[in-house]
Amino acid sequence: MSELILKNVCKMYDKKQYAVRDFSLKIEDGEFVIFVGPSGCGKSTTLRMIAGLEEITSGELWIDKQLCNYVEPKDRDLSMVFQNYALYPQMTVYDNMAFALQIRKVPKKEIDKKVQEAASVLGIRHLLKQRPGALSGGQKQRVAIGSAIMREPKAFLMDEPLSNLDAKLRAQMRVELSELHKRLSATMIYVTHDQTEAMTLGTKIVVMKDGFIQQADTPKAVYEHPANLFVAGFIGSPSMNFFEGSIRKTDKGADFVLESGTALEIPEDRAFALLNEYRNKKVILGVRPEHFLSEITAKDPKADYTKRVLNGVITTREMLGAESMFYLEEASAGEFAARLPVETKGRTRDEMTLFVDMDRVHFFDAETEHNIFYRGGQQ
Amino acid sequence: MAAFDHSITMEQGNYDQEEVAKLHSLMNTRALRKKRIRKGVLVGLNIVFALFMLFPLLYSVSVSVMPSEELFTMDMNLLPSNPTFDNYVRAFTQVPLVRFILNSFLVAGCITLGQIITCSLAAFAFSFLEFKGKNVLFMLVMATMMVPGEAVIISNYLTVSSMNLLDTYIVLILPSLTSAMGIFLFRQFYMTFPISLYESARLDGCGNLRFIIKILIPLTKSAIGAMAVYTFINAWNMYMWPLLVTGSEEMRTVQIGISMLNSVDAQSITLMMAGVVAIILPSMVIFIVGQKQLISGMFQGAVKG
Ligand SMILES: Nc1ncnc2c1ncn2[C@@H]1O[C@H](COP(=O)(O)OP(=O)(O)OP(=O)(O)O)[C@@H](O)[C@H]1O
Ligand SMILES: [Mg+2]
Repeated sequence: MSELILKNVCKMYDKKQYAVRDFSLKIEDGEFVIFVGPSGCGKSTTLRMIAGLEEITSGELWIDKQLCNYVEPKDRDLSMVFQNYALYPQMTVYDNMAFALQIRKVPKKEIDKKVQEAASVLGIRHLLKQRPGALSGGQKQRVAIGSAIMREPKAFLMDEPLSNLDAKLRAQMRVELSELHKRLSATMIYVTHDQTEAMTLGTKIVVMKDGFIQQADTPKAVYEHPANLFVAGFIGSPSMNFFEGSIRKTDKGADFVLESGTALEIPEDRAFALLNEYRNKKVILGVRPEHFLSEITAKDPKADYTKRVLNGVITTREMLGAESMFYLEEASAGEFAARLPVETKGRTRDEMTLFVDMDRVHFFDAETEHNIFYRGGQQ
Repeated sequence: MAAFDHSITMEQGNYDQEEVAKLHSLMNTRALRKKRIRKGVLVGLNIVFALFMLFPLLYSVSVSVMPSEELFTMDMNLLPSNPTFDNYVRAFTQVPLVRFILNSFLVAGCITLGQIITCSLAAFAFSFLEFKGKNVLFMLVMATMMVPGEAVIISNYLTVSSMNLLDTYIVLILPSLTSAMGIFLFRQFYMTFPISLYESARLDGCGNLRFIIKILIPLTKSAIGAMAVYTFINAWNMYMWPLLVTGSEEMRTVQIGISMLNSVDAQSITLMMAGVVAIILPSMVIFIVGQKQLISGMFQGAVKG
């Protein structure tokens, strides 16, 4: 199908502030790219610039080796699914789906064949004669996707297409979208601020903030190797716990010392690098809730597990089903969350001792907020 | 579920089937009576107010079928004692009233059509297209609404007379072919139109004209209907401009024609009323036909916006 390249794309509304800045990204054929980030970070703007609905202030947009900055939206051969579906209310579902092809003067027979085909793929054949007003949210969504796939465009652009659906339907549509992507092997660019969608659908996640790309990588890489404090906190739910502290040298290597004086032993492989650059300097330790353990399973003979524990008082406890979330209060670090097996004992206001999986924690520079051990990754 | 059913039958056990039915009917009649009384009061009030509001109109209908002797007495004659259509016959014979009505229809029809087309296109540009100076231009258009028509009527007259257009249909229609008010109303209506439909159509490869014809017009029918009724009635009631620019009898519109009835025979108020009633009818028919559109159009914008 196609390949999209964005080179230092910027967008400025009203000559005041950048909505999107220096956005550079290569989207390969067949990729499922997710733009994710907090509200107002420029996801929709970027998508609309790709679609041609918004002018590109500076930078280049290449679609299939063709510079597309000034190409009319209809000639870019992209199709877009809008958040509110954008179905034409006065036309039947059939006509809605056929509209783009009718404009392109495709023969009637061919249109009919395609509509029927797409309708059966999406399970909306029985709705073809209805008008959009008579459909449920999920059905409208399917029709909107149906209209988008009719044209076999170079890429699909979707702006929060599932945000109007309830949780269950969203989960179902997520699976269907993922299957559709595999079946069509199409390039898709998808905007969301739901990170479950981002993690499950995407082959590449682009995390944005204030118009800048923070990190663009596979979901796994973004989760396991966040580039900076923002990405670490944004991806993952409940989000990563952060503790401020400093690096201190010990006879065996190095410790991370919290303000309360609690010391956590840093594994050997990282202790050396940290000591070199950050001795006695402020760093931020990031621990995901699932990286707390109530008991040690795998033993590393060189590790001193008595020095890898964190104490806290339980403030809240939530049942998630197979697991429980514990919210604890630590003397200096404040509240943090831990995800533990459901049979873990502990009631509110109990003191609790948790082991920290120090091999999987992250260290961030307190000033630049960069992940100290982050090494590049693809852009 | 089973337990729930059970408890219901237990409670019903106190009454037998018949008693329950009687109770039902009793309560039903009571509720019905209450409903009827309320409705009756409402209808009564409405009729009183309607009569009050419509009194001038009804009285003019009544006068129009009175012989003039009956009107000019010291008695209070609300209703004619010898109704006659004489006044109508005289009104239609004394001045070419039919011609006036046709003229008015032609002029008002053309103005309506013209305004719908120009205003909707202009409003489309102001609400969907992006171009430099859009807001300034819109402000300028709106500013023209602040100039009263009377202030420019003389210069307009001079313009059209220098163009040798006086006393033609064109001069009656041309100055009213567009209106700032219409542009404003259409734009307000289009603002409530989901912009993503337009964007989606653009991505589908739909040009602006096709978008207007295939999507915008079908979806804004009620607004167009409301505009049409409003414009038509306004055009039908035009007075100053037609009076100024038409001289010959063939070109007169009804509103002017009616005043001719007055000048021909200043005494005959009954004749005048017959003419008035005759020319009110068409605009009332238009209103009744377009009423549904007008109301729904007026409120659609309100609810959505
Ligand atoms: N038409 C516009 N005119 C002026 N500023 C705009 C316009 N559209 C967006 N912006 C600004 O650009 C920035 C990015 O907006 P954008 O819609 O891309 O955010 P987003 O990431 O899609 O957010 P959300 O998740 O809420 O949809 C915002 O600060 C917004 O205020
Ligand atoms: Mg958005």
